[in-house]
Amino acid sequence: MPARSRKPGAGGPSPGHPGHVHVERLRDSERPTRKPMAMWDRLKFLALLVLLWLVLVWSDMANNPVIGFVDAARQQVTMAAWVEVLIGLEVLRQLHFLVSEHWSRYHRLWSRGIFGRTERASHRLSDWTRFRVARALKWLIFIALLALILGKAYHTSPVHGLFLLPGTILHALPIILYVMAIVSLGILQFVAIFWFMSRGGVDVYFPDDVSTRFSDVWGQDHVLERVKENMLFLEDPESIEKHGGHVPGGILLWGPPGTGKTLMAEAVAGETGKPYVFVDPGAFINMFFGVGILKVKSLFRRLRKLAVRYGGVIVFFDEADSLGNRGGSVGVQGNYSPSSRFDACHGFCYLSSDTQSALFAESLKASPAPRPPGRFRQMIPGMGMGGGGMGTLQALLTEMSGLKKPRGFFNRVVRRTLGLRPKPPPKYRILIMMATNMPSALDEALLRPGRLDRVYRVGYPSKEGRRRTYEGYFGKVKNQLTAEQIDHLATITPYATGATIKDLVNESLIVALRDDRDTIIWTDVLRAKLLKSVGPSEGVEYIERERHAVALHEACHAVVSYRVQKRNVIDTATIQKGADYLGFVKPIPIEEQFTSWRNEYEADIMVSLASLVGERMFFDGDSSSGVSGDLQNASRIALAMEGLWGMGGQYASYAVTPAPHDAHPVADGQDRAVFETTLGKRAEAHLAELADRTGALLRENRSNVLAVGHALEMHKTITGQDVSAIIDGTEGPVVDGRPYHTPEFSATLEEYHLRVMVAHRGRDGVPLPVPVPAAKQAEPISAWKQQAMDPNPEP
Amino acid sequence: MRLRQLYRVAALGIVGFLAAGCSLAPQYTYVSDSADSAYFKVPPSWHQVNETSLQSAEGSSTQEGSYLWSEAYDANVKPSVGHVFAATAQPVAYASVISLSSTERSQISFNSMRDLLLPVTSAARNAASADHEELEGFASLSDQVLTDGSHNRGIREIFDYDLGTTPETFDLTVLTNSATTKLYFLLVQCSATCFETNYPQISDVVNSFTVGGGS
Repeated sequence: MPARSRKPGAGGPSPGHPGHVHVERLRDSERPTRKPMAMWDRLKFLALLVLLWLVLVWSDMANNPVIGFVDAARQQVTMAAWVEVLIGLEVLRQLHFLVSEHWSRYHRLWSRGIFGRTERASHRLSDWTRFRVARALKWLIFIALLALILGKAYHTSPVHGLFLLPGTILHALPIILYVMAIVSLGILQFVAIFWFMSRGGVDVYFPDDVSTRFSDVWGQDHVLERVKENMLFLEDPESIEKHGGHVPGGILLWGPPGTGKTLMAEAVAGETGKPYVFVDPGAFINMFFGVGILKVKSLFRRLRKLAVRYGGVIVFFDEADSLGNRGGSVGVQGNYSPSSRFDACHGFCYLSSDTQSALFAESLKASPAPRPPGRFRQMIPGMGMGGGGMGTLQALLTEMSGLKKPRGFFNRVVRRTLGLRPKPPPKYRILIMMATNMPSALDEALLRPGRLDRVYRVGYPSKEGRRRTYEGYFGKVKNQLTAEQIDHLATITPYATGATIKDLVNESLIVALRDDRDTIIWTDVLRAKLLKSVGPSEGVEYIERERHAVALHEACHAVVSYRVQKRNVIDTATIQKGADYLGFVKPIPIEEQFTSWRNEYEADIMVSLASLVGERMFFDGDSSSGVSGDLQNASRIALAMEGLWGMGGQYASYAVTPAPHDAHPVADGQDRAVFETTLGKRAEAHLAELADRTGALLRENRSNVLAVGHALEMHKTITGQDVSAIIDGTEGPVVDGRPYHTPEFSATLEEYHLRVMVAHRGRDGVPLPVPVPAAKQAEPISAWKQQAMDPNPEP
Repeated sequence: MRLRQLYRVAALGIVGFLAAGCSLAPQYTYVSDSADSAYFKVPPSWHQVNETSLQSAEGSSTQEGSYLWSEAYDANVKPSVGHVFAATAQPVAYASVISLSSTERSQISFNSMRDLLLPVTSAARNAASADHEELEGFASLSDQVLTDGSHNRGIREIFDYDLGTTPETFDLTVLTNSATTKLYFLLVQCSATCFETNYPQISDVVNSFTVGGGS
C-alpha cells in the first residue's frame, strides 16, 4: 500500500502559512481505502426515494378520504414495493461504500478484484464492439422499463403491455396525424414567409442582355487584362485544366469609389457568353435571422444549376463590404476634401497629400474609435458586423469552398445505403467577382486563395487613363477642346475617377448651356472644375477690410506654396466662404510619390506658418484667430518630425513609448505639458526657425502677396495657373498677371493696403474700392470668354 | 446540534421508519370507487367476492337504475356471491353505485331508499303482502336520515327480516349525491346473532362509508 507522500520541497512550512504543511492529494488508484463520502452524498438518494415513497402515501390518502396516514403507509409497503427494493439497494450500496472506506482489503477486493477484472475483461473487446454491446444493453433496459410502465398502464403483464402498445398507437394515429398536420401547417407558414423573404436581390442576365463592353472601360487597362484572362479561363476551362490547373474561382476588385469597378463587372456581363448573376448589395440585409443564409444557399443552388447548364457562370457581388466581417475595422485612405474634420479655418488642403494623411491619422488617434492596424484603411468608421452578419457570411464562405463536395440526398444517402459510393459533383465553373471600396471591411477568410484567388486594385486611373476617359466622355458631347487641353486637364486632375470625369464633363456642358451654347469650350471646363473643387458659394459677402485680410491670408499660403512646395502645384485658391472655412489654397501633386522628405515637410510647415507670419507682417504685428488650424497643422508636423520621423535632433521614436492605445498626448489633452519637454521645445525651436525663413520669404515677395491677394479680392477664386501668372507676370486663364508687375499698380496696391490698415486699426470702413488694373477693366466673365477664344492657353 | 449529528438522526429516522413500515400490515382493507367517489373499509380478514360472479348475480340493472360499480366483501374465509344474497353466519358487505335516469331521479325519496332492497316502510310491506310475498319477522331496529357537507342525502336503516331458516339483520345505508344522478348504497348483513356479536366491526364498516365529490 503506498503511503501518503509529500511533494519534494513541500515539507517545510509554506511562506504564506507558517506551520501548515501541504500534503499532496493521492490519486484514487493509490488510495488504500475508498475516499470517504460526504454525509449528504450518502443520504441524498435514500432521501429522494423516501420522499418518493411519501408522495405515493400522500397520493393514496388524497385518493381515498377514508384512509389514514398509518394505513396508507402500511398499504404502500406492499403496493410500492419497487420503491422499497430501490431503497434496499441504495442502503446496500451505501453499506458497501462505508465498508470500503474503512476496510482496505474489502476495498481492494472490489476495486481491483471484481471491478478490475470486469474492466479488463470488457476491454478485451474492441471499442466498437463494446459500444454496440452497451448500446444493445441500453435499448434492452429502455424496453424493459417501457414494458413495466405499459404493464402498469394497461393493468396487465409487462410483456403483454408491449404487444398492446402498437394497437394503442394505431388507435391514436388519427389524432397523431391531426396534430402533425397542425404542426406542419405552422411550420409551412414560416417556410412560406422565409421563402418569400429569401427572394429578390439576385438578377440573372444572359448573354447579350447587357450592352456594356470592355471598350467602354477606360483607364484601367492593366486590371482589365487580368479580368479578361479570368474570363478566358472560364470560357475555355480546358486550356488550364488539361495542364493540371483549375479555373480561378474568384476576383476581388477593390479601390476608391468611382474608379470603374461596377462598370468593369458590367463589361464582363456584356462580353461573356455565360450567364451573369448580379447580387444586389442589399440582398443580404434582412430583418430576420436565417433569411440571409437561405438566400446564400438559394443563390448558390441557382449558380450550380446555371453552371452545369451553360458550362459556367459569373456572379458579381457589388459593394461586397455589405457582406460584413467577423471583426471591426476603421482606417484612412487618401484624398481628402477641403472641409476635413480638422478644426481649422482654412482646412489643410494646401499641404501635400502625405502630410494630409499623416495629420488625418493623427487626428483619428484622438477619437475613441478602435483602429486596428491594416494595410487598407478608409475614412468611414464603424463598418463590420453589418447586414451580412447573422451567419450569412459564414454560409457564403461555406458555399464558396463547398462546391466540390458530393451533394444531394439521393447521392449521399440513398446511394450509400445501397452500397454505392456517392458520385463526385460535376465541375461547377463559377467565377465569383466582388467589388468594394472598403476591402478592410471584408472578412479575411473571404480573401483566401480558393475563394477569391485574385485581388486586383482598381486605383485612380493613370494620366493616360484619365486622358482616355476624358476623350471618351468628351467624345459624347459637342466640344471645341484640343488634344493638348484634354491632356492638360488630365494632368491637373490627378485623382479623377471615371465617375468624377463623367461628372466634370456633364458640369462643363451645364456651364456651356447656361451661356446659351451647346458646345463646350475650355473655359467651361475650368469653370466647372472650379465649381466642383470649391463648391457653390454660400453667397456671404465679407466686409472690405476682412475680405482684404482673408485674401492676404490665403495669398501668403499661395505665394509660399508657390515658392517652396516643389512637388505640388496650386490647383485652386479661393476666398469664397464655405461651410467650415473662409477660404483655402489647394495644391495637387505633380507626380505620384510614395515617400516624403524633410524638406517637403518643412515646406509644408512654412506654408502653414505663412498665414500667421504674413498677418503679423502686413498688419504690424496683429494677427487673427483664423490661423489656429494652420498652427495645429504646423505643430503636429513639427512634433512628428522631431519625435517620430527622425527629422529633428534625435534618433529615437516616441512611437514606442507606452502611451495609451489610440491616444494622442496633445490632441486629447492628456499631455498639455508636451511643449515643456525637450521634444516640445525642439519642435518650438524648429517652428521658430521655419517662421523666420517664411518671414524672409514673404518680405521678399511682399508685392506678389499683395498681387495675389488683390486677384483673390477681385475674383474670389483663381486657379493655380493664375497664381503662377501673377507671380511670373504672365497671363493666366482668369487673371492677367502682367499689370501687377508695373510699378504704378504695385504702388496702388500698397496704397490700398495702407488704407485698409488704417481702417483695420480704427475698425472703420475702407474708403477706397478695390483698385482695378488699367489693362483689365472688363468683367471677370469677359475674361472667361476671352480665354475661350484662345485655343492654346498657357499651361 | 451539529450538521453531522443531524444527518445521523435523519438516517436513523429513515431506517427506523422503513423498518416500522415494513413490520406492519394495514388495519383495514380500503375499498374505493374513485370514478364515482365511493369509499369504505372492511376488516382485513374479510375477502372480496368475485366481481364477475357478483355482476352476473345482480344483473345489468335494478329497478332503480343501472349499476356503475359493485363490490362485495365476505367475512367467510371462502367468499361467495351466495353469501351476499342469502342468510349467512358471518357478515357480508355489499356496496354499489347506481346511475339514475331523469325519471328515476324525480321518483327518488327517503322511503324509496329505505325500500331499495327489501320493503321496509309499511306501505311497501303492505304492497308485498298483497303480492303474497313471504316476508316475515320484520323489525325496524334503527332509522336515521343522513346529510353531509357535500349535500349528499340518504338514510341508514337497520332492520330484521326472517327470510328463511334464521332471522337476519340488515344494515342498509343509501345515499344520493347532490345532483341526484347517482345512488350509493352499502348493505352489511348476517344472521341476527352474528350481527349482534360483530356489531362493533360492522359499525366501523358502515361508518366508514363515504361518498364525496361525486356528481
